[in-house]
Amino acid sequence: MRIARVAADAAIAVPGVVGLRAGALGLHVTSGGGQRVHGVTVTALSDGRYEVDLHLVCALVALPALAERVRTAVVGSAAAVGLGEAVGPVHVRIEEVAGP
Amino acid sequence: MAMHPAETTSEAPTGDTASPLRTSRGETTIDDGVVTKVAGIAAREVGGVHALGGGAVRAIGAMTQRVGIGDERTQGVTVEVGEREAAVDLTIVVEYGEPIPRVAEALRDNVIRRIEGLTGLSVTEVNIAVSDLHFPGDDQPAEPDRVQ
Repeated sequence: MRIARVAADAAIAVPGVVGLRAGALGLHVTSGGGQRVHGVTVTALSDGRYEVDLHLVCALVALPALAERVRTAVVGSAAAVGLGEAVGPVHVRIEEVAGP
Repeated sequence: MAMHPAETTSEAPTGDTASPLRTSRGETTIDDGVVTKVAGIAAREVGGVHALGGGAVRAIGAMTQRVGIGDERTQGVTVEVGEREAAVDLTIVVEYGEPIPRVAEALRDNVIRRIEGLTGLSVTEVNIAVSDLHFPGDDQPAEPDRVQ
């Protein structure tokens, strides 16, 4: 749950990211501690780390570079709060672009 | 551009072919709707393309847009998106007088450039169907000739 919150906050702060999207069925949500983080799912891996899936709505920019900036931001924020070791691969799912 | 190997390791692709969408730090997926939108916007940028979609599609599109559920930018565009490749089908209306092969070629170039530039997917094919021609006078409503 903490990872999801940190990842969501880090991702939304990246320029070009417009929002997080829980999906039409609301499946991409992490719940815990009475809170819900929309657009982020966190999955435990066998090596003890956690895989993070981010479902994003983005501006119409070069998307692979944006995804890379999101990854850097998420990993950096996680490390800053002492969760750096816990974060495994960060998968970026571009669900929609907010176009002109 | 010489780079130290150490600097590039974080971006080294894990797959057999290099793709900017699969990195050692996680993969990037791009929804069909995103590629459709990019293709639609790119197609409209090309000179000689009057509109996208066939007659029936445009009639239905005009109606759905009026009630607020349609998006003009995605009509006439069908895409298939894989992990690192995309194929695009476009239905277009060409301005009368424009050479269709040249319009098609420019359209193909622009759509491929935009999709590859913005999404990192490699475009395997762009199929273009020309559904109609547009004459410059088509948009003006015909003046009823009532005075004898």
